[in-house]
This record gives sequence, structure tokens and C-alpha cells, in this order.
Amino acid sequence: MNDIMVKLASLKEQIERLLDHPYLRAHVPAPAVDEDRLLLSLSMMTDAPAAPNEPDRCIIAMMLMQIALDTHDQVTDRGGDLRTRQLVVLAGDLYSGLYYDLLARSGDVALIRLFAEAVREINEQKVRLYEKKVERIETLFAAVGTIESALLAKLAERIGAPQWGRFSGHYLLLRRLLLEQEAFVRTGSSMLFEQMAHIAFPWAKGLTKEQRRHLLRLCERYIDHCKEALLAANLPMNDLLRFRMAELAGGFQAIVKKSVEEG
Amino acid sequence: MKLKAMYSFLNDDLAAVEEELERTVRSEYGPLGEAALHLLQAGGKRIRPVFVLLSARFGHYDFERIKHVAVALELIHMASLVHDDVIDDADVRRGRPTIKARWSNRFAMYTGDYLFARSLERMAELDSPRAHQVLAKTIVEVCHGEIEQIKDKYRFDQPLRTYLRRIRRKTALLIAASCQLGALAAGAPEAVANQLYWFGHCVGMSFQITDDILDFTGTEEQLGKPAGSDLQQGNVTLPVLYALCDEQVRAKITAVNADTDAEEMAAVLAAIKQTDAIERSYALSDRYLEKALRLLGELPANEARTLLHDLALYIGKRDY
Repeated sequence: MNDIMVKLASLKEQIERLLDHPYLRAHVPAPAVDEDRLLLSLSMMTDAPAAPNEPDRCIIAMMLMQIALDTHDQVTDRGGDLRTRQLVVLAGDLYSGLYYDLLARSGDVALIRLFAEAVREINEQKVRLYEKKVERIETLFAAVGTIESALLAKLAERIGAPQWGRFSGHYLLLRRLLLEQEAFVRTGSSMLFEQMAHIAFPWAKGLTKEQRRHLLRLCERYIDHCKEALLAANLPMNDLLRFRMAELAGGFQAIVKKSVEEG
Repeated sequence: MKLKAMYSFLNDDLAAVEEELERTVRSEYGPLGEAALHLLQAGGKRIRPVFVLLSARFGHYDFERIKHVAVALELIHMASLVHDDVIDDADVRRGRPTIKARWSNRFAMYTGDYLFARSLERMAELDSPRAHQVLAKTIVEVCHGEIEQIKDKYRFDQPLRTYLRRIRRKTALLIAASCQLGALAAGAPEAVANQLYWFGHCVGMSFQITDDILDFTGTEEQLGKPAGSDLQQGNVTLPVLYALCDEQVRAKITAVNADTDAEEMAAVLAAIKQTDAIERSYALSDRYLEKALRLLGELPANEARTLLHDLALYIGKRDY
């Protein structure tokens, strides 16, 4: 476990160094480097039949693009300080430029294309959710899955390990569903549950207890599906990933189950 | 002469680029494509594709290959416009509501990122690491330029060098890259591609200086925004830097802020125009233009060179 943690820390440090910009550092929140995504990409690289010459560069580029997209998600429609908003837009643009620069330097045009496809798909799905134009629950979960994992799926495609793309998809969807579920149970507010309610009860002004329970059950079903898929994947895993999976599958679930049962 | 009439021999290829642009921005999910088309149909000079196509004439001109670069560069430019409107909180562009005004900031962010992705997808049709390196470096530099622009707002003590570096990054680099990439994609010799890069750089500098002058001399109708808007937003441009040399005008300029009302702004603009700031700014723009033409003159003579010459003059001397 030690080796992988050292490697993760090294990658994180390299990414943070690339993201470091004195003026941005002083005026916008520091971007978060998602360790789960790092861990997944690192794990798939070690199990890949066609790992690229510079695996670190591919991972870092993917992370930069993800951070760029996450940064742009912070842009609000109204309110907030104007300069902060301006800099958040530009920070996201800069990070996406850095991703391209990194891959261009390594000459990996195939990966440039694959990541660009992922960014297109992610933004198509984001708009779809933003406009609340999803008509079916399955489509909603698929859209969230794409948003969460399209970049990792393309990385997996590039290195000839599509099974890791599917695994990452289930892993990140599970993580997102758990977060949304937690937010819904604790605060009554969650983007995903709002969308689910819009689909399941389009004319409802507010949710009844029974309707809330119904939505939680639906989410629970998808959570179970993700867990089953993760277990069935049967991929060679390092200790840290195994530990993270166990952590993800336990924890908050017990509270939610209790809350569903008690209504 | 109208810009499009100037390069009529490119018309078929430019029409094809326009079709490619439309085809490329269409999204499987309607609203994104609709937003991108909304921007595309607002028009624009398509200067970057024109520079790409003309520069490619210095190599082996193969439209099927070159078109990817022309489309990619225009899409990068479009993506930056969509995000710029969020940055500037702009409601109107080219006489039409901006994407952020018609939809929302968040929607505009997604549209910009979508256009960026489509641009790279098109660019990836070109299996030339060198071309990708040029474009990637340009994009990063442009972002640095935009961040600097925010940092330097209302900084009236900034040196001329800071302004020049900012407009180089903000405008000149993408035009320079358009010229260089057109030549590279057509397999022109590296020396020719570099010469075209510096030509584009000088034209871009002249273009931006002219743009900054027009902010003071243009009408609201021509500019699509009130004259002096750049200054009011804190952008310290070349005419402002020159006008600051006059002590009396300096006091008026440094008092400008986001809340300065229209009447006060009109007085500041009149004071700036009474100095020699506009003439001096034109003189610097002309120097860049002259350098651009000198560089161009060293390239092999062909029809494209003549057109690039005319285009440079048009861009540097335009009055709106």
C-alpha cells in the first residue's frame, strides 16, 4: 500500500505544481485534486496491455481536464464577487489549456482526440441536466455516469483496458449517488433527487413522505447495482483501491437504510 | 472595399469552412448546438480561417487537410468569446443577445467548453504533434493574457511594455498561430511558417491597437457598446497610457471607476481626444503594420501574399 500512496502523492504534487498560479492562488479557491480518480487511473495503468510511454503524463492531463471542468461548474448565474467569477472562468480555461499542452508535448494526438470527445459528451450531458430535459430515470443516471467518468473511460479505451473504464464508471457513479443521497437525507436538497422528482412526480409541488421514500428506494436500487457491478468486475486491485471500495460500500449506507425503513 | 470582396478567390473554400463550422457545432443534444449556431450565425469576419487558408498557399494547398485547422481556430475563438461574455457580463455581441444573456452563465460555460472540445476534435484530424504544440502553447498564453487583463484593471501606472505583452497574448498570438498553423498544415518550410507567424503577430498587434483606439473614436452604433467602455471597465489601453502623460488629463483618467456616470465618462473621453494620444496610438499601430508588410515582402510572391498584404492594411486601417 505504501508504494501506491507514494506514487499518488507524487502525482498530486506534480498536478498542484502545474495548477499553481500566484494571482489565481490569491483570488480563487484552490482546485481540489480528486484522489479517487487518481487512484483509478493509476490502477488501470498498472493493469493495461497497452500502457503509453508516459503514463504519468496521460494521468496528469486527464486530471487537469477534469479540474478544468469542475472549476467551470463553480461559475454561478448570479451573485458573488465579479472578479472572483471572472477568474474562475479563466482558471478553468487555463487548466484545460494546460491539459492540451501536456498531451501536445508528448505528441499523443490519439489521446487528445479521445479526451476531447469525452469533454464534448460531458458538456452535452451537463446541459441536459441543467435544462432538466431528462425524461427517464435510467437516462438521468446514465447522464450522471457520463459526467463523472467519461474522461477515465477514454483513458481506459486508450490503454486497451475497457473493463477499467466500466469499473471506474460504476465506482464514480456509486460515489456520486452516495453523496447525493446523503445530501438529500441530511438537508432535503440534492441536484440528483430534484431531477428524479421532476421525472417521477412532474406535477408535484412538494414531496410527500411516500414520494421521498420512493426516490430513496430508486437511488438505493442504483447504488446496489453499482456495488454488484464493482464486485463482479473481478479486476486485479491494489490494496488502497480495495480499501477505498470497502469504505465506499459501507459507511453512510447504514444510516440511509435505517432512515428509509423508518420513513 | 469589403473584407469578403477582397478575398473572393477564397470564397468557395470559405463557404466550405462555414458549412464545416455549422456541421461541427451541431450537437446530438439540441440546445448546445442551438447556442453554438446562435453565435455562429451572428457572423464575424472569420479572420482566423482566412489567415489559415492564405498561409497554407505557401505550401502544398490541400483544402481537405487545411480545413480542419481553419475550423479548429475559429471554434477556439468562438469558445473564448462565449466565456469572455461571462467575464465581461456582456448582454449583447454583434447586435444579438449573448449566450449568457439568452440562456445563463452556467449554460455559457458549458457551451464554451463544448466548443473547445469540438475544436480539439477537429484539430486532432491533423496528426501533427508540432501543430498541436503550437496551438496548445497559444491557448495557454492567451489564458495568461486574459488573467493579466483582470490583474491590471485600473492599474494606471502600468508600463507600456505590460500593455504590449497583454495584447500580444490576448489577440496577436492567435492570429500569429493561424498563419503559422496554416503554413505548417500545408507542409510549408519551417522558415516560411515562422515568417508568417511574425507577420501574423504584427498584424494582430496592429489589429488590437486599432481596436483600442476605436473604443474612443467609434460610435455606440459602430461599436455595439458605449464609447469608452474599455476604460470604464478598467482596461488600460494604449490611448489611455499616452493620455496619462498629460498631467491634467491624468487626474481625470485616474478618477474613472466602474461607477463613473455617462456624463463624466464623456468628459474624460473628450479630454483624452484633445491630447495627442489617438495620433500616437495610430503611429504605433502603423509601425506594427509596416513591420508586418516588410516581413511579408520577404516571402515568395504569390496571390496569397498580395491578399495578405491587403488584409493587413484593411485590419490595421479599419474604422469600425
